[in-house]
Amino acid sequence: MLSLFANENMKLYRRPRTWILIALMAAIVLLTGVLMKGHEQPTPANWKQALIVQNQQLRQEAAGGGRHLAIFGHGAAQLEVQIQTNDYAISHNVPPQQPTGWSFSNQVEQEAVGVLLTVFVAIIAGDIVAGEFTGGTIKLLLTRAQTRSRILLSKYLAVLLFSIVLMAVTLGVSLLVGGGLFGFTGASAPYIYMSATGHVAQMNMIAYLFANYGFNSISLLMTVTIAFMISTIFRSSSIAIALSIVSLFIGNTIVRVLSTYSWDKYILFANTNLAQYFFNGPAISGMTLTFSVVVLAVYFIVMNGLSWYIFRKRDVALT
Amino acid sequence: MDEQPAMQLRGLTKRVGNKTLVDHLTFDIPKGEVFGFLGPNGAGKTTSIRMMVGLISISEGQVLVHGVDVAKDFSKAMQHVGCIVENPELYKYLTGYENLRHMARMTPGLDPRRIDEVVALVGLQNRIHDKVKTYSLGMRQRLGLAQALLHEPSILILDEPTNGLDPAGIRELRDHLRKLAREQGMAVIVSSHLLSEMELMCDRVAVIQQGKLIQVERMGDMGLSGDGALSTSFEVDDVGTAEQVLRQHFAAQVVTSGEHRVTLPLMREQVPEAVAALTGEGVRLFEVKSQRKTLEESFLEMTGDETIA
Ligand SMILES: Nc1ncnc2c1ncn2[C@@H]1O[C@H](COP(=O)(O)OP(=O)(O)OP(=O)(O)O)[C@@H](O)[C@H]1O
Ligand SMILES: [Mg+2]
Repeated sequence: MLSLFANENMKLYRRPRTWILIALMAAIVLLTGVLMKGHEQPTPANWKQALIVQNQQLRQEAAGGGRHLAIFGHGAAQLEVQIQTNDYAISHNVPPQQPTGWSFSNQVEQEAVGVLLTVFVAIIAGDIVAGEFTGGTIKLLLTRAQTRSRILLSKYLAVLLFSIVLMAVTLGVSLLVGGGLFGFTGASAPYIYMSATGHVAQMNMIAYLFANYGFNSISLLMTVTIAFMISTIFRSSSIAIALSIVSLFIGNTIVRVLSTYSWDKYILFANTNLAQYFFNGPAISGMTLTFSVVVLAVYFIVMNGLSWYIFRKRDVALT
Repeated sequence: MDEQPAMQLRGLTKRVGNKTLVDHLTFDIPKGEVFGFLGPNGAGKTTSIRMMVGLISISEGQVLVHGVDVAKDFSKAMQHVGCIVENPELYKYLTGYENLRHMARMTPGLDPRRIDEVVALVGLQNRIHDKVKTYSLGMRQRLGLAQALLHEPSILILDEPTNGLDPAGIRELRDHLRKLAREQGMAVIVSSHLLSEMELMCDRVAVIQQGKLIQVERMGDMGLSGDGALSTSFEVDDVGTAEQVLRQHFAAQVVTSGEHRVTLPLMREQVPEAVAALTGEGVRLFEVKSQRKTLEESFLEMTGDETIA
């Protein structure tokens, strides 16, 4: 099994394509950093004064029940998050808009490369089985003394390893670029947010960074599984890559469009963002973390089971 | 027979929808034999081979490798089998050596030094560390053969192995396969529609057509089958008389070619009679030649010269 895994990795990392994806990712992070640095606004001299004034207004608002900002029914909590964030900036003497290495890494993940990460992994996952069929080399794999299940598993594991490598590179480069351009200060600054229950909470910036990657890797895993399944069923890299990326982009839209139906919450994409149970609360009320985890597990098992079943049964006839 | 055949086909059948592509093939391939699989385009050779190596499911029947059912214990059976189905399949972005290492890793416990051994065997030492995309077709064939031989199989299955080889390459492959069969007792199964090829390479051939086995024959016996008549030609001084005499004695079609040659199909025991008749009529006889039908002729006879099924 280990040697099959070694084979898959050899095939993956001996191809220029894999390295192009990795290099591209690093380049995009670097470019984002350089652009952000270039557009950095000079901190106004009276920023502290401005924050104090803002906080006074916010407190008045909060005292009035947060009528004007009553989003999600947690207006007061939202206001409180802003007030506390400002208070921290004032008392620790750090201008709030000033990026740090940590905030940069978070921002880059959430706004720029988080989705790209999934797209790149889908490219690899979509090709890893289908590519053997188009190249004819599937015949080599299936005529040796190895079961088809092992062959498929070794491929799945190789994709997972690639996901981890790509994520590690992205995180590493974003920290290096962020730290290099904006400094490593502010690691102890808290990330203040509204919890799912509507209370103000806070966590360490570094913890927040890892939480971001952690939640993203869940949806990444599901996209990998989709791409892998389509790759196995249709034996076409382009179909697998296209469909899985499309699903990534329109998944949330589908969930929103179908929100009037009660079964909406059983759709895979309504459940891939587990962060909603920790920050800001679930998009569809009534859903719980346990519910989503169970739904995800069911999808995971069914999709992988289908890949496995079809791969084992397939007649490798047409060249 | 005290020794089990290397490979046995038992009523091997493949159906797709309501079409029967391979229809109850039954024959044995003993160790040390080069066995030919002969048939026109679309006869079902590749389909049969695909079933023999587990690429497609078997609709009915069995394939036994040293007595082990391929469908039941695939891994155990395939330890003994090396194959190239249709084309040598290679990763073009890897070097020849990496391709072999990839193959070696799929066989547990294979000595890595075996790689160098097969590289030398197929004569690719000088180019083995180049990327496969820079290889010529013949070099790819060689690498494919190296891949198939890497785990020292006792059964080698090659689908149209001479595809894309030059005459020297074909000859080399032929000698190679014969040597593997003779010296290592390997059972070699080759499919082809190059009839002349088969004639030189194989000990026995199975002729199949439209998925059915027409016959299995030892190579040397091939021309004797059919109605048993041999094409017999006489070189004479007077073709006119000769033709007349032969027509009188035998109810067969007599063909005159050139100025001195008449040809007709005769049974072996009819030849002296023909000679006596000709000399009795004063025809001067210079040469008598009895010719076996070529494999090509008997092949066409067996399968009819109809087009693709
Ligand atoms: N997947 C399939 N579905 C239906 N029919 C098929 C399929 N694959 C092959 N065939 C048919 O099976 C028959 C046998 O094909 P096969 O490839 O085994 O022939 P072959 O003897 O190898 O011919 P060739 O000498 O041309 O290589 C052909 O009539 C072909 O059209
Ligand atoms: Mg064929």
